[in-house]
Amino acid sequence: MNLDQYLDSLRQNPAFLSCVTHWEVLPAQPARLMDMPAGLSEPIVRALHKRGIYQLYTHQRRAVDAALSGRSITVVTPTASGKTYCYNLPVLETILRDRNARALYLFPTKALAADQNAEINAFIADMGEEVKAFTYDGDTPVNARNAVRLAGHIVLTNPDMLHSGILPHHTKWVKLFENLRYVVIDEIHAYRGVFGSNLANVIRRLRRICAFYGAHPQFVCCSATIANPGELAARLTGLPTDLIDESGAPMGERHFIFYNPPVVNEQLGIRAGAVAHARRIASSLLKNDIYSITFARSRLNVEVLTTYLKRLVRDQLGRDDAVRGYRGGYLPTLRREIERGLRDGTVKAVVSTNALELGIDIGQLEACVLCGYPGSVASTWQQAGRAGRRKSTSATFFVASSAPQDQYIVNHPEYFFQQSPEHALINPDNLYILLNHLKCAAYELPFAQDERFGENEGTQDMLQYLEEEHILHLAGGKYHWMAEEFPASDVSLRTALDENFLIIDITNPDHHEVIGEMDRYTVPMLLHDRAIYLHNATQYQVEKLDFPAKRAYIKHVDVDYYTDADLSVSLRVLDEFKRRGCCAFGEVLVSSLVTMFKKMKFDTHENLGYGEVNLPELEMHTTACWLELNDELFAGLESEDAHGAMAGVAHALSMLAPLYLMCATWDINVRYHVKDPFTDRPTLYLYDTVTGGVGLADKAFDMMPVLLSRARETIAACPCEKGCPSCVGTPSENGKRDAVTLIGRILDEQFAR
Amino acid sequence: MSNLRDRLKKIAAERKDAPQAAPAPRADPAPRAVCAQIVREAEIPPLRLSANALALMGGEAFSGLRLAPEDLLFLDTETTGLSGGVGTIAFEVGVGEVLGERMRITQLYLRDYDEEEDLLRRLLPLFAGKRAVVTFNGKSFDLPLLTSRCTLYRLRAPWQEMAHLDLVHPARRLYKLRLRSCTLGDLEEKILGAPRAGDIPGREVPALWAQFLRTRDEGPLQRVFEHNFQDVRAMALLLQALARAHDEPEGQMHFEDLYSVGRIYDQAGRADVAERCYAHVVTGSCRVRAGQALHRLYRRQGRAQDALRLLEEMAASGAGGTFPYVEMAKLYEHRLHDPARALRCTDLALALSRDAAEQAELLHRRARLARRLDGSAVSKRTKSTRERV
Repeated sequence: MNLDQYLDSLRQNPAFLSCVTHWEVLPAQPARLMDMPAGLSEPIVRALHKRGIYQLYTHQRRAVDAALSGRSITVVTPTASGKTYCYNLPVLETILRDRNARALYLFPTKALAADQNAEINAFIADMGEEVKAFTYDGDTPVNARNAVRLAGHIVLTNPDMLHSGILPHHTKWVKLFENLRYVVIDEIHAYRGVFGSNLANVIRRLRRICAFYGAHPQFVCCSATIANPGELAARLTGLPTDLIDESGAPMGERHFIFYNPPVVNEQLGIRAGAVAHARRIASSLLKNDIYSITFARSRLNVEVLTTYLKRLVRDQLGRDDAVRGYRGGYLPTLRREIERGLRDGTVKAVVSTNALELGIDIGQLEACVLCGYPGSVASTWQQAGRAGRRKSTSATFFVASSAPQDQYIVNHPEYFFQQSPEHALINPDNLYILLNHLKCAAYELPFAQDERFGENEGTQDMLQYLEEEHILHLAGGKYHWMAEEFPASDVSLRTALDENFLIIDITNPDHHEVIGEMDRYTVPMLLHDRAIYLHNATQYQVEKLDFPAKRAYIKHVDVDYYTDADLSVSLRVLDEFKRRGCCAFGEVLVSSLVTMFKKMKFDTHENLGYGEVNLPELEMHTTACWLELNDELFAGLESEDAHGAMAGVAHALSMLAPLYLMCATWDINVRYHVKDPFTDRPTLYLYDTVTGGVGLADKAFDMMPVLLSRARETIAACPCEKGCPSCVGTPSENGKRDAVTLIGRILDEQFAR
Repeated sequence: MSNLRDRLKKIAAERKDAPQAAPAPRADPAPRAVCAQIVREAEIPPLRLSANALALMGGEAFSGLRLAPEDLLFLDTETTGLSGGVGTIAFEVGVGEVLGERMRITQLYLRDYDEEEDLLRRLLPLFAGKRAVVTFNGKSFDLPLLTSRCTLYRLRAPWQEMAHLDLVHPARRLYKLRLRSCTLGDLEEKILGAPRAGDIPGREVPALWAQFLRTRDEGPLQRVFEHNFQDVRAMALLLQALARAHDEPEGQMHFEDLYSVGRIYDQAGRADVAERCYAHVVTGSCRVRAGQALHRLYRRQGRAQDALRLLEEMAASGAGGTFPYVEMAKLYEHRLHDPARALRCTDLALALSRDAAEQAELLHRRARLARRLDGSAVSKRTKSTRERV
């Protein structure tokens, strides 16, 4: 059956339909084409013709025109809309007209850079002209680096390499900087929160160095659908850009099916699990030869689903590679192999975490199954966007889990379709981040006394501060770098700690093999002793987790169950720096601990037993602000205990705070204790998820009265009846009322003074 | 970090109150600040540089060059840090030129960062008329650093068009086996026999510079300049010692050095000298290595009998473990066409071998030889194997 027939058959299936809460059909869009720009060089036209391209989509034509006329642009169009041509064409055209011209391409990951490098080199080969494009990153062999520096017309790299490998050594890159005409930043929606704030400052340093060498490059930014692409691009680059956001690419008819697994126990109100039902849908797609991708919320679920689907395709010889799992932690070679298989059609179904969200080219699939809500509207559209064909139908199945947020969305699809995607927020002038990069900038080029770093008015004050700390030295009207160390190595652009564990297969005693790696924080959950670890849908049992050596030793097994561990997170105040009434700010210790695991049988998912886990707590020091409440504030509230009200307030704050702190939702965390072990009262915490803190909780402390009153306004004004993910999170009888009352009382009592 | 915020707020408040100083007019750039200079002379023994030594030490760039000591410029820098990035600068550069039996050493240094352009502008003309620059570790550190500084001021770096002899490489090739550590200080002590007393270690230099910037007391800097002065002078002496060692290879006093210089000549294609050097290494820790190197040389030249004699000597003295037996087996099998003896050597090697992979290979050889011996009545010329002796 093809997809159209399959969808028809579903529409006639009463069992399936009884679970469907909504079926949206987005009509097909025809291509909107324009002729190629008149002056385009012959080799480029030739190469395009070789690929069967005789006209450009409207957004491509507009992008090329704008770029060639010297403007900086931001292109917002979905994947598979040919956005690569929006930058490759103007860049190559410029290089053909002037062989000295240079361009710098920035990608969030090395893998994406490698992908794009292959693409542009293929196009250059088709042009038959001598244009050199190279990647330059940690994997570039040392003896090749000089060649890239001197001869590369187009250099493809990533933010970390730009930050510590290129900018602090800019004298070696004179040819690039003197002639830099374009800077291309792809996937800018990935640069939000603290990571985005760091990148914005790296770009400030880049532009400063370009100006020193007399260059003023244009920027071409590409973004997925977010609420504020133009604004994000402007804050990242420091320049206004023309926004090009209407895609001329054709799109087949798209179906969105909201599916809620049925209730299996009426009395207790228990629903069938999302995994089991996502499995059913994915299996039936696979049996009908419909190419699909399934997104699961956790690595474990990816492995479990992959295991189930592989059984369907396993042939007599035991080959089952038509189904693949995909996640971080697999070795890069394996990931490349899976991506290739998707592109050439040998892989028919892939199960992935959101690792496949970022633009790696995997061709276009027909169907997408979301096993659980991805957590944000923007992510949902991005994942759904993996299924979407130019000329034919595609379908996305959202399978709700029992989590309150999922249940709300599956029952209120209008919430999802009317909600605009989230804003990507950054704060390049965050003091901590700014200071770090100011040091790097001063290392790169001395600062003049009237110079501003990225329009920042506090530049001179900060330079004086650095001078007092003997990091800079003022001579001849300029601040020179005086200290011994190399500042870029102390500044990390990404917040995740890079302490990975190696996963070593010791099944064969003569030949140990490293099959993957895992970050330190997930290891206790998936690689504790006796865990059943699923990797690439193969079962292993953890023989030994050597925590100090950062190694996990696993052996191949064949069992009928898998394991699932419990993670508990706790918070402890270490030091209090400031206080205002019931609101305080200080240093805290966040510990996460895994103490036990369950054994779950495959297929039935019944619980076969428990086991203990003996692993050290993982600790992180960071800054937090907290509200210490007292029991009187809860008197007379309609919910049974403080839980409901506090949960509502915590949820509202976690939604609102990023907007005011200009960070990403994952840069902070909001938690509450009904009876906190430290304060002995109901306490609500907001802490930075970056080790050591980057000033977010600090700012929240300053702004707490504002945050609380906005939260109250938002909850009160929310059009939902009993609560939704936009206000208090979980719907309940009195949730909204209680939350509003509680905030009112906190504000009156604590901040009115 | 919150006290930074408070401080910045305070500073901002103070600046608001203070009368706003008018920013200095930028129309006329300030006259370029001038750096400081010290010129001293040092006694050195007469330098004699043969074309042979230069070619062996400096490689391709020096082959065919006839250089007099006066054609050289010795260079060493003192820097504000050890990282190779753009924020590290050379606050002092010492250059030495040979004038007969004296060396004139010019040291240009900064009192502050704004004198750097002047320092570079005074440094570059010193290269005029010179044909080669000599450094110690300059290839990876000093010269790239100076090139980088020149780029920032848009100056052409003259050393990029000159031959460059970085002494650390020939020194390591010759002495690393024996000395393990070949810093300039180690070489001065162990090769030149003239250790320096009271010298500051290189890693302390950046801190002394930072201290000078704070206190403006040039006293501690004098120690840096003395250190630099001695470095430049030591380079000339080291060059002489290395040149002599390369010109008189068989005059080495240590077996490790003999072997090392043999390797140098060997890699330069001078097998005759290499052979003599290797042959002189009759005892000591490199005996086996020299034997193996000599054996390789004989093989390359097709000298089967010499190779055999050498291997027999090694075997007889118990040197080299299985090596002589394995190589004799190969020799007997492929060059001397004596499978019986080859088999015997293989068995002797097997008896000694402790390595699983080697044993597997020897068994394979043994089986092949056994087959040949059995089938020698039915003589079929075996096809030439890939192995060559």
